[in-house]
Amino acid sequence: MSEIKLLSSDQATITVEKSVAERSILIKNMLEDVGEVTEAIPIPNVNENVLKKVIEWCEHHKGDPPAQADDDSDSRKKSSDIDEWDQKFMQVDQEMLFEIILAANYLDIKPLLDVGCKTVANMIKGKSPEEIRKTFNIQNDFTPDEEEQIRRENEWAEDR
Amino acid sequence: MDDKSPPFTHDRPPAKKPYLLPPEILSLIIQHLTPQDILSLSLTNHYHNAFTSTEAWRIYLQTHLPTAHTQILQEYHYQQQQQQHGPQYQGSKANWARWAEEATRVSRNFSRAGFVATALRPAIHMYVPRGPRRGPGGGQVNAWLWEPGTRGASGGRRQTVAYRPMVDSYSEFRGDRDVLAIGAGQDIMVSKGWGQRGAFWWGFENREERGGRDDVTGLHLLRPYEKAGNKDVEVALVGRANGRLEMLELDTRGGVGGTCRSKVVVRYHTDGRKVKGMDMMHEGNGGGVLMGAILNNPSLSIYNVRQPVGAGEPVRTANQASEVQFIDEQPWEVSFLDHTKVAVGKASTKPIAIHAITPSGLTQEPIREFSAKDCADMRSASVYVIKPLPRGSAGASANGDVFLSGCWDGIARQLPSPFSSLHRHFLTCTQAPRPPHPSTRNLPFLRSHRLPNTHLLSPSALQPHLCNRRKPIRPAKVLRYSLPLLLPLRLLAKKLGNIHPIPHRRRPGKPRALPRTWRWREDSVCWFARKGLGVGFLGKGRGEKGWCSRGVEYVFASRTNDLFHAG
Repeated sequence: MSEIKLLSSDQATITVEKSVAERSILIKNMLEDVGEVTEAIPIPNVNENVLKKVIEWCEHHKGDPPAQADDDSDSRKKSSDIDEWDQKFMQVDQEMLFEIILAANYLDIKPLLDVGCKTVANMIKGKSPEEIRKTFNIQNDFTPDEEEQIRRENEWAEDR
Repeated sequence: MDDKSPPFTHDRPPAKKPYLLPPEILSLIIQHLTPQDILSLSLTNHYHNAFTSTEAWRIYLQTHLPTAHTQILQEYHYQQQQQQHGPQYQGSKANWARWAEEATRVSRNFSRAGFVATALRPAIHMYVPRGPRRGPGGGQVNAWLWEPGTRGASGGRRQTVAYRPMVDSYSEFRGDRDVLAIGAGQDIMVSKGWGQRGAFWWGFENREERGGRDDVTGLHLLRPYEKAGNKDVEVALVGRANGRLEMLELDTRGGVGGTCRSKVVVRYHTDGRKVKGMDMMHEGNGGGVLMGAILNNPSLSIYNVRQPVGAGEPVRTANQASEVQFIDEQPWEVSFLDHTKVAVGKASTKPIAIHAITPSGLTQEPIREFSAKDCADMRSASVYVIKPLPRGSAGASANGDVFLSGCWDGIARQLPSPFSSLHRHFLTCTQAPRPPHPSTRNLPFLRSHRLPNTHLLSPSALQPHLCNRRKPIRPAKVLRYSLPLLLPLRLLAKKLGNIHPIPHRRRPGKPRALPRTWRWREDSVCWFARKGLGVGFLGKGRGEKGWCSRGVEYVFASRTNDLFHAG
């Protein structure tokens, strides 16, 4: 099994199996374009910790069948089902979670991106605006009047 | 990470963030949220609010109500096309929040009001300049209750031969039009609603027309993008028992309704033969509009439909583009499956035939036939109704190859794709039983009986699919609507099309007899598909004496996606 090297944004080199790295469509396409490489592939947007985490995910999921187009639309609706291992994997601090999502987006690993987004969606679900702000440390720049107005305009969303 | 942040991050205070994640990630997260969660998110701060009003509601529609999303995009497309030709099409700007609201309410109403009723009583209040003040708006307009067949040269109420209410409707998100047209005896009633302002009725009558002789046997409305002139003038294709097949202009501009006269624009050549069935193909994507009619002496004729542009021109005459003659067979129903195929329902040993529409006309020989033996295990059968499943509903195919058929034995069948069918299965075992008594009546949804001689379509026809509903049907809710209420048609239209909430529970009184003139014939199945989000059927038992004594009227409506889960 051939191995390749990845160079993170903070100049750390990580060796990884080629088949595992190819879970990332970005790396896969790059390898197809370049052919055999001995040097480390630079991943400028991702630091070492995050990259390791992402590779951990890829290693666990390397045997997964490629996602079907149909599955995609289906999984979108059932947002709460995240498989157990993934749930545990996503139990990291928020900063890390967001960086994993951004890295998955950059590296083009769709299933990981999906899991990440579902996790964030689950963190938002059923919360009041104030709770969401607290959870994600978002700054409130509304005046109470503005907030009231938006709430009034979108009243319909609150009934079931 | 900083290079991926949204543009206005520099003015943030160090601890609090003005954003959660960049927009492309946020749109992926939105897909998993409910309206309530989206609202909560939008209430966190300006950045998220701006994102929500432009993008999140669109994503929500695309994910959860794709049929509505498709319709909005199509309307946008037509609007763009129209604007190239002239500025007449007055559309509104994109307002995804409002459309999301509208679609969600309609959809919720469909799933809540998945009702079965045993009778319909139309409550059509017509505006009259002077009259008793008891309008639908709580007495704000002068209105009287219209009853079918009360006027006309013959006068009085009269059961007419071909009486069978014809219903067509369309509604749009951008233009805010919500139109329902009924061919009621010899008259045509048009209701137009404007959002929350309620609906008004226009009656189109001609005193020279008689009930029975001149009854409307086919009625279809042109969609706004198919009209050439003012978009507020409704244009209808109307077939009558007297053999007239015409394009009518129904002027519903301004005012609050009333009675008017329709204007004939085009006459289609029928040789004076009675129009028995009619359908229309809304093609939209550049192609023209097609109309198919079953004429007496039996033939299927196809016409090209185009509304003349200029006003005040003399009435034109148009000949059929193509014709198929039937020998020893009695055709009843025509239905376009898509722009290349048309299905004919007939009384025959092969009751359903599909003909292809080619550039040179209809194929004389059907390209596919369904035999009565295979479909219903009968030697011969009559198919009165064929309706392709609405596109976009689960279980439907893109080219209309999956359709429902209503046969005289009272069984509604879902026929699979005639073209790619290796697995032919029929969704039979159909109908709800006749309600024993209003108070003791069980849930018709949950039982599947076969009553001979009863023709109706009910959700239990699709029972296996209903079981797939994510939420179980709660008896209390369904019973509320399955009691044999005399549901005003207006109410039904409201439930199906407008965004009003569901009315409160009514006292289940003794069903009153309906005017004899207003009855659905046993083969009458109408189809509502308001905003692409739901469907309704009307069906009727045969051999009844009174309105509610033996015959069973069924009306039901449900959300498209709940009904037609892919098996």
